[in-house]
Amino acid sequence: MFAGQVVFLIIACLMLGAAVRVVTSRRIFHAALWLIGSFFCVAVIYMLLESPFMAGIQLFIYIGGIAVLTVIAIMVTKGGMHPDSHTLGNGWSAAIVSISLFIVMAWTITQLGFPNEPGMPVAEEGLALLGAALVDPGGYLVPFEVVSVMLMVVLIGSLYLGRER
Amino acid sequence: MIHPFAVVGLFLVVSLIFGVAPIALAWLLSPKKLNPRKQQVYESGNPTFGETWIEFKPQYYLFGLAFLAFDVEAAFLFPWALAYNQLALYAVFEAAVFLGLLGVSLVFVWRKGWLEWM
Amino acid sequence: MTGLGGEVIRTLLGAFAMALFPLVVVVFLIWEARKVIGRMQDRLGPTNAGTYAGPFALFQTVADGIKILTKELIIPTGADRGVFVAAPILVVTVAIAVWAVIPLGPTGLQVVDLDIGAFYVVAISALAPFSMIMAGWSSRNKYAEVGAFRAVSQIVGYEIPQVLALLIPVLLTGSLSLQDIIRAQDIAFIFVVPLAAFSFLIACVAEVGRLPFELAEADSEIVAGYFTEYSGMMFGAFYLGEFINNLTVSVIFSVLFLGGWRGPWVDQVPWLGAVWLMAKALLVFNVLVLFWAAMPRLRIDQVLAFNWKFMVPLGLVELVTVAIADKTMESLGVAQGWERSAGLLVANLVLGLAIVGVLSLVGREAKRRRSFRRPGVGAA
Repeated sequence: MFAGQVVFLIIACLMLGAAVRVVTSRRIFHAALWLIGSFFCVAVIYMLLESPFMAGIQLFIYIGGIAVLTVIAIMVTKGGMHPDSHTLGNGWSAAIVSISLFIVMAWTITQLGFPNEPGMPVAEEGLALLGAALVDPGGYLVPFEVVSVMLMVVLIGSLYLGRER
Repeated sequence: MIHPFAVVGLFLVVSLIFGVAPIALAWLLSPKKLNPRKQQVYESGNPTFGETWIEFKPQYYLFGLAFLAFDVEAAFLFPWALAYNQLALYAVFEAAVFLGLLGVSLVFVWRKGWLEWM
Repeated sequence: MTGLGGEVIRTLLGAFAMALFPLVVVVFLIWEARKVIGRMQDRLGPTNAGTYAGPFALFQTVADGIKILTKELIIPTGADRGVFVAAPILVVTVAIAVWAVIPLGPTGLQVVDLDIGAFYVVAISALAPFSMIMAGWSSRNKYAEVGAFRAVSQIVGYEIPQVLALLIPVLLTGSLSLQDIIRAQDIAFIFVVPLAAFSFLIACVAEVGRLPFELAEADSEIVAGYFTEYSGMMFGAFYLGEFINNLTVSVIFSVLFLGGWRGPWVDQVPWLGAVWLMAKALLVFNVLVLFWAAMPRLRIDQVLAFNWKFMVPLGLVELVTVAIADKTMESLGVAQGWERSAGLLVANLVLGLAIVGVLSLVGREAKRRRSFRRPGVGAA
């Protein structure tokens, strides 16, 4: 348990450091790379919470999908690749927004009653249970199909915007 | 008994060592006689001209978005595939609808000609 | 406490051995690939003429490796130094990290048998495009940047048919653990779901950027693609990473579709599993090498069109077909053993025939349209 806490502290510090670098980097490409580092640390924290599937999702979707997309977006934006193009136009308002967001989230987390007994029993076939619940009409069938509709909208919408005009 | 995830973590550290070691070794062994001509960016023997960090076609981004849609879909399919043996036939049809919607929209954008590379 | 310490040391040693394993195998794979390609091109490939490189120049790669260690590491002016150096490190790290879950044998010959082994492979591979983006961007070279863009759009796109094909063995096994997937293959899955194996193989070739999908490092167009500016061991790291990836996809293909370490006498002599697995992987690797020697290179629009208009639809249709066919058979009472496999094989063959039929119709239509158009263009 102690070793786990040490690893958690190290990873949390790395994650916060990377997150700070995302904001302070002069080059926006560096910011994107630090963002990936931060995502990776989140994946490690999921591993520490004994939730390997979430860790895999973190790598698979956030790093393999969203971060790639972010980098591509930077590379296709006019002037986005330019060194030192990253200027903080209005630092104060950004700071106020993010600090108030932080306060709201921290307050929400403290209000939630998290179970705090150590070593919550994990179902043996947890992932298969999740899979069964996804297609169970009494479970999450409707959200599951709605996700599909949403992805359909993403696919059609994005290619519609980029069509030849 | 070491926890399996700790072993994975250890292995990641070991593979990082294997990534760093050859380059560190080469850095120790290699000569360091730099000069400006050696350090020029290669551009078929010509001096470089113009801007290098140019922006590319937005089409790369759109294909990236299309990829993301399928990526998220695949992530949902992993638990479903694991649970497959316990599922009834109608549950499989539900997943088929899930896949089919994306398949239909792929065919739709294809018929519209939006998948063409410009 | 000493027990735990001993265990940590044993795990570390095992991890080192497992990480070293692909490196050692790759040294000989490079030699083998060069020999085969040499023969395909009516050359001898590496020989030990002049200098001594062992029988059949077996240790040529070792000599090359030592030479490359003594070459100067040049970082071009204007390059982003930190990212530039990090990219080759990341390439090798990611290539090796996948080996944590690869089962070389029934017991012991594996670092850790994760419950989500197959997903781990996919998730770690998701880091791979970044080494290319980082290399291409930080070099500040136009060729490198073009190469990085091609690499990313190709690798990212082909991840989808790869994952869709990977889901089929998972679905048939009901487990993501690579050991369970191997144990379930009383009949190798390539004979049960050949279409999935086919699309997985093609997607893997694209993922590792072998010909005909080599356009990210097309040497006749963009010098060496994203690693144009790299020299010495940093170039060597990209080369090494590429070959490790080739070996890895060969091994993963063998695990998922060829029965992994299964073979005669493995029950008595567990380490024989590694031999069988490597033999199967070598077979797959040689398919890649033959592609490499025989195929022309595709254009980027062709690569993307092939993915989105053929591989992704094929993956979707194959997944749905297998899932429904299997469940239908189960509700008809054919759930176990060779009958299930035979039924799935029939479903696959029917689907394959249908696809070939559709493709030939489409091809005929395209040909007809072309022959209508051509005289007009010629006359003008």
